[in-house]
Amino acid sequence: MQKLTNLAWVYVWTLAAVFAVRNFVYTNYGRGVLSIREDEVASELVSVNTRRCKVMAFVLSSFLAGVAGGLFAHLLQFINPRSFTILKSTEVLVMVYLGGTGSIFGSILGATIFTVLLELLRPLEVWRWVVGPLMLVGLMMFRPTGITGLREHRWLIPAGERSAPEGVQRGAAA
Amino acid sequence: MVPLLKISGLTHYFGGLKAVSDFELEVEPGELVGIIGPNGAGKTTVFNLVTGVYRPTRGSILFRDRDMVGLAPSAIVSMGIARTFQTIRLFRGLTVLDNVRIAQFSQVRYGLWRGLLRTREFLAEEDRIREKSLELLDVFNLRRYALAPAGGLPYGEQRRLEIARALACKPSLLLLDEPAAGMNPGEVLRLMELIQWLRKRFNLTILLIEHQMRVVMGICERIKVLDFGETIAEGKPNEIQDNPRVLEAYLGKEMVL
Repeated sequence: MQKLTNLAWVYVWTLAAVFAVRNFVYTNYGRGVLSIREDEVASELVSVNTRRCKVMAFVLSSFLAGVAGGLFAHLLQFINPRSFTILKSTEVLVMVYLGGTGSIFGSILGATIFTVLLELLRPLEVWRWVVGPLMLVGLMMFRPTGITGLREHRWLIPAGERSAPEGVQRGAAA
Repeated sequence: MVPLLKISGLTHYFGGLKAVSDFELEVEPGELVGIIGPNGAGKTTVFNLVTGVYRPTRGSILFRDRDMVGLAPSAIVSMGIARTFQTIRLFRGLTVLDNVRIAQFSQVRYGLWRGLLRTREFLAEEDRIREKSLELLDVFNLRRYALAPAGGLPYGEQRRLEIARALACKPSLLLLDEPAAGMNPGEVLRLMELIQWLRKRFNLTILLIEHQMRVVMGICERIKVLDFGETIAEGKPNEIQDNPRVLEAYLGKEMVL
C-alpha cells in the first residue's frame, strides 16, 4: 500500500488546526474556557454554561487528536497501542508548558523546540527519555508559564481583537 | 401582583450545622431589600442557595413563579438573577473588557461552527457584544481600562467592575454581597448613590447583604435581620434600629440598657 501521509498533508492539517484553535479561542465558548481557567464557580455565576464549554473544548481537541492519529497511522502504516504510553502524554505536556500556557504560538514553539531537541540528543540513547520528565519538573518549578507565558503572537490574534477601542489606554496597567 | 422572588421555608444544613433556618422572603419588583446580621448569620448562604451554588435541604425558591431549586447556577443567572461576591472574584488574568464580555455568555446567538469559520453573522454579533460591553464600562467609568488585566485595577475599581460584570448578565434581580466591604466612609457614600442610580437606570430589584448598619439604613426600604440562621427581625430601617433583639445580636445582651 502506498503511504498516504506526506509533508503536504501534514502542513495543510497543521495550518487548519492552528486556524480552528485560534478562532475557537475568540468565540463565546473560547472566552468561557478562559474564564473557567480563572475561576470556575464565578464563571457559572456570570451565566457561563461551563459544562457546555468544556464539552466543546473536548470535542475540538478530540477531533484534532483524531486527525493527528490518522496522519500518524498513515505515516508508519502500523499502529500499536503501546506507541501511546504515559511517556507520550508527558511529552505533549512538556511541549505545552515549555512553549507557554494560554498561548497558541507558545504551543507551536514548544513542540518545535522539544522535537528538535530530542533529535539532537539521539546520542544519549535511552537517557534521552529522561529529558522530557526532567524538563517538566524544571519548568513547573522555575517557569510555570513557559517561554511565551500567556502572551500571544500578534499574527494569531484576529484583527478585530488587536485594535484598541476608542478612549482606551493601550497597555494601561491601571 | 406576583412577587418577583418568593422564598419560603428555606433551610440549609452544613452537616449538623443549621446555616439557614426557615427563611422567608417576598420581594416585589423594584424593591431594595437589605439583609443584615453579624458574621456567620447565614446571609451569604441565602445568596448561594438562591443562585444555585448550594442545593437547599428544604424549602422553595420561586422566581417569577418558577421553581429555581435544582437548576445549574448558569441557568439561574440566565433567567435574570445576577450577583456579586463578598470577596472579589473577577477573572484577574483576563482584560476588563473580557470580564464583561464573558458575562454575556447566554445572550450570544451564534453556534460553534459560525465561530470557527468567523462568518459575517458571527462578526456582527461579536461587534454588538463588544459595543454593549464598552457602553457598560462607560457607565462605570472603566472604559479606559478596557484592555488592562482586571487583577491590576485599584480596589475600588475592581468592586465597580464586579457590579458591571453582574449587570452584563442582564439581570432583573441583583444580589449584592457586601459591596461596601473594605471601603472608606467616603467611598461607601458614593457606592450608595451608585446603587440608587443603577436601580433606576437598569430597572433593578436589589437584594443587599451588608455588615455595616449605616449602609443599609440609608438606602433600603425593608430590612431582614438574621442571626445564627434565624430571622430575628424584619421591617423598615427605623423599626429595626430600635429592635432590642437586633441590638442584642450585634452588641450582646449586657450592652442593652
